[in-house]
Amino acid sequence: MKTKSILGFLTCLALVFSLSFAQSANAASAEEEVLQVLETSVKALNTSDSSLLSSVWSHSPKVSMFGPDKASLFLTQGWTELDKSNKTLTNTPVGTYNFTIHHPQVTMLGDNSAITTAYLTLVYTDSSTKAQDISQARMTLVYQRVDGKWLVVHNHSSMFPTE
Amino acid sequence: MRTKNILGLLVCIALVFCFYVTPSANAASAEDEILQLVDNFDKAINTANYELMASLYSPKYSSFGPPKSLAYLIKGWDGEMWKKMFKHPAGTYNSSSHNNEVTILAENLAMVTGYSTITFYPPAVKEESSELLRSTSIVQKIGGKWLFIHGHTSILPTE
Repeated sequence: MKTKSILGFLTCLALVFSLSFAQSANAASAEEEVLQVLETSVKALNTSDSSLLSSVWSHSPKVSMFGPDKASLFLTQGWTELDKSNKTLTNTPVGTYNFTIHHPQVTMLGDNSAITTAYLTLVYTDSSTKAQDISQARMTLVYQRVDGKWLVVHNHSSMFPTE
Repeated sequence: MRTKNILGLLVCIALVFCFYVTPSANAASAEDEILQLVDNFDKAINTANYELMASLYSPKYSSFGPPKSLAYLIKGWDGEMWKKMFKHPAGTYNSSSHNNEVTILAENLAMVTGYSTITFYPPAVKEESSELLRSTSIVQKIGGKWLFIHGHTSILPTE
């Protein structure tokens, strides 16, 4: 009887452990998926790949962006407008813009929403003179999981404050 | 018999209408509650009300702010910064948020984008200075109350 009780207890313990492990494994996997989307968006910018960049964004009319420069001073809203803005970057020769992400952090906000915060170093190379300009920015991206796929729904990027 | 059929049909239409109206009424209410949170932020600044300001944030709050001192991600709500700011009398700072738009992300999660004008009236100097800011806030309903959980505020780029 005692042996049966111990066996039952151990089985329960193993089940609880399995469930807890499965949950944390899922959480880790979702974070990795979100991080992958961030890395893919940077890769798309660095390779001037507009279709790759388009694939990481939601194409909803509700997507929006505050960009780091004067060209995207005010909120850009809706995928049609945002795509035009993205294409000003991807329609340049490869190597014009080079982005590097630093200290990316994922915050899960439930099963289907997340944000990432990160710092960006941007090296702009003028294709004719080869002169370079380096700037640094902060970035918050908001994601939603739609049909199992993580997509960017908002971007707020701003230059490092100097004052 | 015909009257009963018509009556039955009318009851069905009324029920469908009620089901249709209820979710949108709830959605409107969530948006109103979130906009109230933004209004309370302005109110806390304009009245130098530390307790009100403290009540608007989740302990898990993180933020990128507009001045150089808030250039890097701050984790947790920076109570000391607000205490320092609210040592000035009410009316020294004025905040006015505008063009706020709420996007519901999940049942208890939303994003607010908009602009705010912060005006500083230094007591010793008569000249005021103001700054137009862009703002993204992520808000979450925790314990029945909407709270800020992430903020990214930046000055309008000039280049």
